[in-house]
Amino acid sequence: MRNGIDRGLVGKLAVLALLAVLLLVPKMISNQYSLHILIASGLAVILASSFNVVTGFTGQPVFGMAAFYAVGAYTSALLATRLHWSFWAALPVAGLAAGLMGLVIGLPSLRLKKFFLAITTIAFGEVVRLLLLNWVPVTRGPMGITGIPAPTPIRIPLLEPIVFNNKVAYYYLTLTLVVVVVLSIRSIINSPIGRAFIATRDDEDAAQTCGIDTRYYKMLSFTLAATFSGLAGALYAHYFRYISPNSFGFTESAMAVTTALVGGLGTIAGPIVGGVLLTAIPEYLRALSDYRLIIYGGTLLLTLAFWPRGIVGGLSGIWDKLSDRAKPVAEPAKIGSGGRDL
Amino acid sequence: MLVLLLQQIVNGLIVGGIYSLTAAGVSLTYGVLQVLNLSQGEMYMLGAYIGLSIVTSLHAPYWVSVVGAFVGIFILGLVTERVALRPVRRSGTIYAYITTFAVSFIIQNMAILVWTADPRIFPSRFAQVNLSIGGVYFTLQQLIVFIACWAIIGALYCLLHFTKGGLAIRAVSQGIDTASLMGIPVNAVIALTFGLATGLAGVAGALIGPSLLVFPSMGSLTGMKIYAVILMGGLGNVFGTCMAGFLLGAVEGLFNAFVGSTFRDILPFVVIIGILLYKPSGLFSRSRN
Repeated sequence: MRNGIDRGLVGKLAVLALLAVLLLVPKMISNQYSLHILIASGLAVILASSFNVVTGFTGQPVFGMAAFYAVGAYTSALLATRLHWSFWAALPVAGLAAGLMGLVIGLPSLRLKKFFLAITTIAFGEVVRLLLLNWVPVTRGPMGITGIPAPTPIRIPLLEPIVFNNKVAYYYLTLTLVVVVVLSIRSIINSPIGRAFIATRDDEDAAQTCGIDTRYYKMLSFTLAATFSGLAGALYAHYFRYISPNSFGFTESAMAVTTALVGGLGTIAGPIVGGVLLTAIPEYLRALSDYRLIIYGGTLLLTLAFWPRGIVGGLSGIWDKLSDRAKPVAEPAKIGSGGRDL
Repeated sequence: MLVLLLQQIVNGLIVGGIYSLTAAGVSLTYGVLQVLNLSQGEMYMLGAYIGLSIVTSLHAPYWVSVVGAFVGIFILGLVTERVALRPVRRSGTIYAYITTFAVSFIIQNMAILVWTADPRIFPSRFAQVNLSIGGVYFTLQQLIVFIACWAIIGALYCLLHFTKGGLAIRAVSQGIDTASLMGIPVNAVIALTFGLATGLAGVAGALIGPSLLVFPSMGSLTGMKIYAVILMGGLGNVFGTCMAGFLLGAVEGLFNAFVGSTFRDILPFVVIIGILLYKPSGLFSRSRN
């Protein structure tokens, strides 16, 4: 396993320093717009990290992540607006609902490999969007759901209550969720489960020969990815406080793929780097908003042609050379290279 | 009632020809590269736009626009192969899906920038000529589409089975490394096959354009239908795929007649999910080559 975090003490210190900087960001940046971009980056990071679990680590091309994002967002928004649940109760339920959806979609589609899985998940993404668009009595169709309440204030004894009426509070909420999700993914990947994921990715037949129930692990990684995306969706709903089927279209799925790839597929840090860069740069280049997906697509092609392991993979290769380690330079992970499609 | 039913089936078969051509291209690419092209729907859309532009700006005859669409998309296919597929050929197939996926959203958004998202009409004088056989109506345009589709599928069959180039394509699909050792210029064969495969989508777009409206997202839904067709036909089975295209068209026609066109767009998804559940190797899997 090679990633930016797993490099002993230096890596750990760097991560701690980064966390400290991230915690202090609202003290340094008072600009609301910059905070907004950071929150949006956080959502992109969670989405890309979930995609990374199933595609980067387990090798199953799932190109419809927006479906789970949507299920999480709608579950949480409907619970909050119809049943007046608080965000804190709705958040885990949204994650569970998306995970359940992942299970339901995964059972038939994970029988397939590669291309068929890719198109099936795109198809399911479309079905979810069409359903949200046409199931007007529940989802209000294209009008979307308005007036989603902000999370209820957190009251800690002896301290001032944290009220979600400003970007700073949302920033910390997003940061917490990002840290929780990334750390969970990291500990899963470093556990025997993660090794089973990677074995499934590298060679499914060989993994089965070693007694790994690859079907179970594919389901598990798919469900986990769906759950994490659902959590991000709930946060999205309660941050923007308005959702419509168009918030969860093909663009969002494409974004998750691009973000993870450009950052570095199959690394923990990749989706984080990609999420921040690919959210921040297009936001600052507002004049280019019409070209957003063209830029994403172009960036993807360039990255894969010249730096197939993404920014993080490429940088860690340079790091290895600089620190003169005797490790051989790793080949880019050959994902899905063995066996036939069906 | 029977005439109405026949009418829907005839309409379906005509559209089905378009699915056949487009899906045959995807199947062909799978044969040589073991990679399926996720941008085929966009190639189809762009083919329609190229045809439309040739007819409206150059006032060229219709057949010129069809040939122009083929040539244009063939060249685009060569470029796509060079920038999106060749760099990742040795990195594993998932990367190829991601790059063709990237190409699809680049093309679709460029089309929105160039032609705007508003649907356009593809003018054709053949669309004004109505024909009728036993109460079933169709336009001359639709007849041309139907005949052209069969002619192209026949030509493709001849190309693959009776020419040296076709032999090279089949050799590469048996194994890239072995073909290379036998002195076949593998890179050129792969590039030309990919160009040919996308060119088929371009022709399909220009052929069906006058019967539909042309708009930038027309490729997305057709893309899904194409994948449904490939699933039905069986992976890498070019001619099974062609037959499945006509079959899906006919089923779509029946669906229109009995269920109504509102839910027609859900059909490809139903087919995909149904096939995956019950016969993931395709309806024609016994004739797989």
